[in-house]
Amino acid sequence: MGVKMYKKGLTTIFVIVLIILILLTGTGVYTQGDGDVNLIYELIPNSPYSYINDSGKLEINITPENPLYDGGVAPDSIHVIDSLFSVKNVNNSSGVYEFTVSVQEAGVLLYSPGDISHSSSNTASNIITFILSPGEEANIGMVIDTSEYSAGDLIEDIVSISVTQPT
Amino acid sequence: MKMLGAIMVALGILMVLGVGADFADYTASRSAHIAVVADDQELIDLTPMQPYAYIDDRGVLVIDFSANNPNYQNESLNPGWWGIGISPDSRYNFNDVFNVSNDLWDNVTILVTISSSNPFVELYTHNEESLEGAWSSDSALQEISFYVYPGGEVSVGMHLMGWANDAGDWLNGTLTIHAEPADNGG
Repeated sequence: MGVKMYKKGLTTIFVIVLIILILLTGTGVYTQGDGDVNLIYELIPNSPYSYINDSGKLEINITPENPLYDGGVAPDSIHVIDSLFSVKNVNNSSGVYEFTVSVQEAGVLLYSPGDISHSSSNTASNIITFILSPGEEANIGMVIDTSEYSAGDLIEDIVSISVTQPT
Repeated sequence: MKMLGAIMVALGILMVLGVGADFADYTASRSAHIAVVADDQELIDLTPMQPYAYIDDRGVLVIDFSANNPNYQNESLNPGWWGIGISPDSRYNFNDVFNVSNDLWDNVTILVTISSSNPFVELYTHNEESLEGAWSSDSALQEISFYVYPGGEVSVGMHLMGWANDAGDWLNGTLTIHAEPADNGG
């Protein structure tokens, strides 16, 4: 009798462990092949200048090393790329989130129609914020000003995306 | 009771995971690589078509009708004779000084506008590309615009007016080149 109970208990625990695994994968926590997605948001490449790399992460690549294209930007030029990538709120609860996207390097700025203060290339900034309800998506544009650069330079920047709950 | 305990523990784990999922820190860092390349390797190429135009050390297109041009006295380009500039009281037309090509990855037609900061330096295109009708040196303008289709290329000529100047004067200026998708505001 005691032995039977013990076995039953194990079986129950096993079933519950399985359920936990399904929940985790079902909500899309870093599943491979799904693009750059987590429980809250998805980063969607929207132009030939961005793509999802082998590690499943969004990558912006305007260099001859881009797997699809060749080229770059010239010195003393300003390039404006509308909708380089987008950020989508994919949370399946009713979570409304505030997103902050920033870059660091000189000459690289961002804008998004979702950020009233930085909605166009004329008002681009190194840090932008916007609020997204579930299912909403914000396009992110980039301004590249190469007046401080020369041919042969490589601008290596980090795009940081963070989320908070609006107060 | 043991079984119930096990279920409770499992539920506890579930709840911790659930709460953790909502309040975790979702900061992410993604990389961006941008290559700065010479004007003739750009997404919108500016390619010198004559010895008067060249790409400088910084990668910028320079148009220089003077003895300062690095192509000046280059035997392979112009054997035997080298002028050192344009004369006063004269007009010079140079067809196809440089080309503008559309190598954008987006496969869109672009509307290109080129303006000269010097009123004595005018521009024109061949093959009636200029939207303002600046199709030859006779109708050259200080600012011209034209469409460049994906993979396409348009040659730009220059009309230099030396008549306002004396020998020893310089005609200096900047060409500003602006390109935007052709469907932006018609």
